[in-house]
Amino acid sequence: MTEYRIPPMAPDGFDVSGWDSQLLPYMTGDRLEIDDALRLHEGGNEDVDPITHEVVRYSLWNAALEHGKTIERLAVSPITLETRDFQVTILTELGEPIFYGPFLQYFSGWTDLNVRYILENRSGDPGIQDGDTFLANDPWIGTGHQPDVNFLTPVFWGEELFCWVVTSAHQNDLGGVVPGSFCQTATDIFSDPTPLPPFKIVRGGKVDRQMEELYRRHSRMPVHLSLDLRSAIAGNNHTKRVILGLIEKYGGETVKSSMRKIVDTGEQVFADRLSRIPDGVWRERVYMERAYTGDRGTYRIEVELEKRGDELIFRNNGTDEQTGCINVPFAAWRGCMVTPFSVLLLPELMGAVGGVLRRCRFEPTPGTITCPTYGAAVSPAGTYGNELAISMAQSVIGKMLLASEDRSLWESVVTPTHAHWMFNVIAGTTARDEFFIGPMLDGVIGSTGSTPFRDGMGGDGWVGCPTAQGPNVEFYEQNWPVLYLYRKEQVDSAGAGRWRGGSGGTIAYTPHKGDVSLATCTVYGIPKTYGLLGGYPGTRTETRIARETNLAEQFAAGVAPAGLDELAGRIEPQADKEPPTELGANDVVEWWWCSTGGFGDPLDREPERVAADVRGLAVSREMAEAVYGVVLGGGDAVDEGATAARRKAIREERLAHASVREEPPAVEDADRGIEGRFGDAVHIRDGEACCARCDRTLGPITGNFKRFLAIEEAPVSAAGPLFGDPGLYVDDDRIRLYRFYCPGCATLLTVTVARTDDQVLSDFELRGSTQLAQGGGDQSHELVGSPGSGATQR
Amino acid sequence: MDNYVVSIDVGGTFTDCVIVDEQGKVATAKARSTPADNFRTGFFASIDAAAAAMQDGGADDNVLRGAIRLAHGSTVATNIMVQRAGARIGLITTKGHEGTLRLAKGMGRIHGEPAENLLHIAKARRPEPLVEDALVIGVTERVDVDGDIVIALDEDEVRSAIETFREARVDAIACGFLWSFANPAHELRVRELIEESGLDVYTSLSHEVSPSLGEFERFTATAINAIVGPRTAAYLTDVEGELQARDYRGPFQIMQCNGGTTTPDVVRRFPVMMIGSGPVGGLTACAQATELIGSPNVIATDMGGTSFEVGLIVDGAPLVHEETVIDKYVYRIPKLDVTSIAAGGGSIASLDEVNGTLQVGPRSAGADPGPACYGFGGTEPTVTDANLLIGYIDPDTTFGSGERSGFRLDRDAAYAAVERLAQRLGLPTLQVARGIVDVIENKMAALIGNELIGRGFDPRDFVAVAYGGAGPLHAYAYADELGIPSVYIPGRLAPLWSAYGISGSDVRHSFEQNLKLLPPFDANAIATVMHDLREQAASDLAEQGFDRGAIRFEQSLNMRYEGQGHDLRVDLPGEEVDAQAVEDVLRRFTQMYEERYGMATQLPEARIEIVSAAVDGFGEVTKHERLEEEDGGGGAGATEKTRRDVLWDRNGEPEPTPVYDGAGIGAGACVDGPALIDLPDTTIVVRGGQQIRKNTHGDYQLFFKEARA
Repeated sequence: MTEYRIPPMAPDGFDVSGWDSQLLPYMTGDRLEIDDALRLHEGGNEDVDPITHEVVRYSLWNAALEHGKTIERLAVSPITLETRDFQVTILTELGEPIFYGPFLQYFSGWTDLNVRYILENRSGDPGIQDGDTFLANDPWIGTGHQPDVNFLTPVFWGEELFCWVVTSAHQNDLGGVVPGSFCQTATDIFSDPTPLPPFKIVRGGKVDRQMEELYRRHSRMPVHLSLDLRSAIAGNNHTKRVILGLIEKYGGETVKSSMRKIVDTGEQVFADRLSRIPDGVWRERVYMERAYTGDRGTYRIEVELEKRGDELIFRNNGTDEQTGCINVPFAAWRGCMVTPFSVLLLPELMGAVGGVLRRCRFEPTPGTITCPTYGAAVSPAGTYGNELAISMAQSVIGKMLLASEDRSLWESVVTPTHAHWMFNVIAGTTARDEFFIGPMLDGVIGSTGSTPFRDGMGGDGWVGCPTAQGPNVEFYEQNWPVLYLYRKEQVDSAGAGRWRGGSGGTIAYTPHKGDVSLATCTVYGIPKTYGLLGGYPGTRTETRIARETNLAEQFAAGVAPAGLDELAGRIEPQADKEPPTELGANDVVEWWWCSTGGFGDPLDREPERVAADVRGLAVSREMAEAVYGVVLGGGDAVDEGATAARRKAIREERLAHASVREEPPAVEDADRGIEGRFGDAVHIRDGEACCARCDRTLGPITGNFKRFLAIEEAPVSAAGPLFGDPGLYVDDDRIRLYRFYCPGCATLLTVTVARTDDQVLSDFELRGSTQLAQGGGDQSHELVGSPGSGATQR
Repeated sequence: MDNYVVSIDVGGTFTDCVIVDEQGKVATAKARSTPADNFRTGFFASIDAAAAAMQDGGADDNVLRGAIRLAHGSTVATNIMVQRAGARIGLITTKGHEGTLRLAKGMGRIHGEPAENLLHIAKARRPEPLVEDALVIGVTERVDVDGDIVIALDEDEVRSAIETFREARVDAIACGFLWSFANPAHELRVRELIEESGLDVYTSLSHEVSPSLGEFERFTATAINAIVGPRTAAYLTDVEGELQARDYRGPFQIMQCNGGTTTPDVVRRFPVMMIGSGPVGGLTACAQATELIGSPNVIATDMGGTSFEVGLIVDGAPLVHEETVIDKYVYRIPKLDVTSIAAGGGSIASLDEVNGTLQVGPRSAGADPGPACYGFGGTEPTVTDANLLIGYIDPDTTFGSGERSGFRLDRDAAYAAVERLAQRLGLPTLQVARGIVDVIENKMAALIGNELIGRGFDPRDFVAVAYGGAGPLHAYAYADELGIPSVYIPGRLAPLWSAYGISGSDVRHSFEQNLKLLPPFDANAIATVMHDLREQAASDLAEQGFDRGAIRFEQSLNMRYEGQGHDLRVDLPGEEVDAQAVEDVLRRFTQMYEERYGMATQLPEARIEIVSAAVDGFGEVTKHERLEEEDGGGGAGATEKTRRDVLWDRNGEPEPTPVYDGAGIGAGACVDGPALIDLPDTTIVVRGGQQIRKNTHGDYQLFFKEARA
């Protein structure tokens, strides 16, 4: 065996022994042990001139794009095709990613882990040979959830392993108790699809029939599995050919040197960005709900990001224990954490984020929802926890960037994307009497968040996968026996803020010329998609059925209903992870996709923009007045006098409804030198946070200054008109909406959700000489719920 | 009378004219385009200049009087969209679906972005809306997948919408309803109601503009059609008026994006068909010349000042792409598939500070200021500057036509521009110049590789054709890189190849029907669909004066394995469609799939799906073959000019390289590389190991002297 040095995944002091995928997820330390039977191409440390480097770099990047197109042409899984739920990766011989494609970004959390696992565990027996392709979908080694299957091809130059080419793609069905393999009833891995650790599916360039048969036996749709396997092989072969062609032309040394330079460059650029950010800690906390079919619990998820010098450390402490089917494999969580770097902070790297991974360390707490040990059900992670993790990563990274004095970094701050996937899956028989399963992915139409400089945008896709594509209504109506009543953006859905979020949307459909049941749907009660710095959260997904309506009569009378309230009939709310329900001929299903949150206090939004929102049907007059404090007169023009009065009154109401619990302590002398900012809202002067609007001091920046703000507790429905009582879905009356105001001028600085017995989340701390709090905020401090709130834990 | 065929290709910068007389004599000219007067002055200036060239051989005073046919390609509709200078429109759509265009399937940020920018989410730009929000009006109506009416059209709501549009003073009205292509009754009724209302505006109906599945793309096409409609119609009327004034009485045929021409009347109704027609002329010219080129499989490459465009011809027919993208909007109107990257003579070289590499493009110096060596104020180094410095371009040549024509290149300015960049890169100036050329040639090869290999084609089965001003300079490189066995360069026609192609394009009317059929297939049902589509095409062509004998059809089916998102278009030859024909087409699909994607990608259990049926009807027009010279054979020694020092290898030294004057080379002459052949406005570069031969049409063929693996 030979030891090879690799960049460590964990921070100094974190022992990865035992993190071998058996019980704890696979993590690597600073070296890999590889059997001597495998010879690695370790060269490539030459200088490459900028011209040759450009030619090689462009060719590799282009190969990854073309590889993706091959998958798009040949694959059959509808989720793969529409949402671009796949990724292609080129990695060095030791598994450092060189290029990722512009497809689903969080796959970047695990292709390297699979390569390294194979190097460590397969290099001796059965060996790694030219012409092999390994298949793997083990969440404890590295995948988003079992349907995301990795096809890993080693590329040899002569006798040496030169690099790796990987396709990772979502498969239609890999078994488990629920068709489609999002097993929402599963409470352990044995009801989930069976994880497959890496094995050779292709040997010597030929598909291994034995192994393919074994693989197919896992699926309800084996033909699809085989077709998608072949699309992955075709893609990998394409990229392999390009790489071998480059080697032939420029030589292995030069190509490898260029590969290493690509990774090094990414690292340098990332380090340069980090050097413009002060050291500190940023956190986010979101509640998941309903861990499996029939459950009514709530579950706390936390992310902590520490910047320490030239590296970042991500932690998940404060997250509840693993439970039900809402768990997120650690490798997926890791990929989610780094997603904002490729699409928001460093898009100019064009997917070459291997160098970013060198500077990102992970210190997971095992046995939690975001780092479950073997045995937990994880198959629906692709719809529940993974999106949540991307959303939370956007939040903590956004907060970190807002600490920089360099405003150009703020251009990468975008309020978080939807914190859960949104869909209805229908099933039934068509008029031709053929069985169908229809994943309705209208939610991919999406919404992107607001920034410190502009509003968010509805119908703007999804940050996590820049090339994902929503469907046409006609496409679904052709494939499945449904008729849409409407598909539109929702008024008042955009999270309010100085810059408002992008709108969310809604569709309604009814069975049409066929039998349809609602197989599964998404429904949440608790806000999860947060805004930033006082911006309100984005909306939630909701599914409701209007039963036994008078739709047929309305159609016959020439009426096209524009909402469920226009249909006579009984409205039946749906809940997440519930069993399928039949739809009658006159039943109508409505569901919503999420909007994104706002940035900054809505009272700071220019009134003219609010007026334009009202004219553009993004915001109602009621919301304009209640949340933005903008009063419109005739012709939807701003009434300036009334607006000023209304805004003043709202500030007074805020402070009247909020309470200041404690006075801030004095700043420790050692921290006096800390200067900085939290966006445009909070200035840090002499170690102390100050309101940027009224200059009031808020508290020491090395501790949790939010504790000293004026805190208002309210029901969750105060998050916006599209929120109601989460008690419809969960049994936890501790869940509340909290708004944090400057005690001086009542500027809204944070809108968040917490349990009454949570501590105030310390989500923005800058490092001084004082030891920073770790582990879900400063343990010694006040609970977020006010003493008189009366809520108790169940 | 000389029975001239005249073709005019109006581009953003130049208007090209090619005149062919019945003996096959060809005259060409380039004039400056004149967007200021709706391109009219440039249009006629180009004809006058080409006529003058023809007159040297004794042509009539008025070429138009002696012309039997005038074919025209124009960027006018494309320009209207790019500049968003079109009509203000109202859109009537199905109630509940007013957001279709705005939501853009969530892809508004992505469509039309170069792949380099796909990850730029925070800074990405959404396009300007096609229709103001307040002018999108949903009306009650609904048709379903089978064309059955689910909710009747509420005519009062339509009338009220029309009144809103009247008050808003819109220039045009678009109407797009769900499933209108399955049952157009409601859209047709909207047109009647507009007519009844007395509102005299341009009208565009979705089932007519783009009768295909997918409301976002169909409504987009319909809205764009309305936006470009009024001004395009005015342009055509304007030109027609002037043609009449000049006594031209023959047919006026307008190039469409599908590679065929049609009448101004049809274009006035469907001006969207002109969008993207610009690069199509060159592709059709290649398709017409496959015999001359020596292969039915052609890679058509056009390199001009700002872009490098690639189209493929397979088995003699240009490949068709189902979608068009313009200004970040995408719609489904089949067009000849031409892919483009920002790589042209004007592409600017710079240092990519992030990646530490030499970048070339996508920024371009365009026509103004143009490359530094043009001396019009450009200071950034471009591909043309690099070509001049490494010796590809003759420093003593005169460049350009029309206004600013005949200028000399300024080598010092080119050197200074590249030198500044070289200092930043820390490399010698000439090496950087060569590097600029290497980087752009790599991009070109990558694009061709994508088009070929991505579709499962083998470059060795193709011949490339290189045209456009900069095409002949770089063809040797991608041929070498990809193993393309030969390149065809249409001599002095290279810079006007598109205009030449327009002159030979047949009239074309395309019809498509959505099917979604699964096995077992009913041959009779397919036959009926094909018959109906043929009848539609035939009737349109008959209206244009083509009798049955002059009409030919091409039938095809779009097919895939059930579940896939990508189709293959498979020919369905012969008018009779019976069980045998269906079996044949299934076999051909399987065979094509195998050829392109390999046996390994196929499974016997997978079901084949027929997605749609298409018929292209062609009305064949009169074409004059180009006059041929006699094949003199032999060498080209007599035309050798002073050698130029060419830097072939960026790590090597400049090598004195033979240069020939293309005009003087006789037909049949061969030249071994390394060599340069100077032509008006361009140069053919021949690398060592390559050989070039001039044929009797004055065109050139570049080969590798030894067959390659």
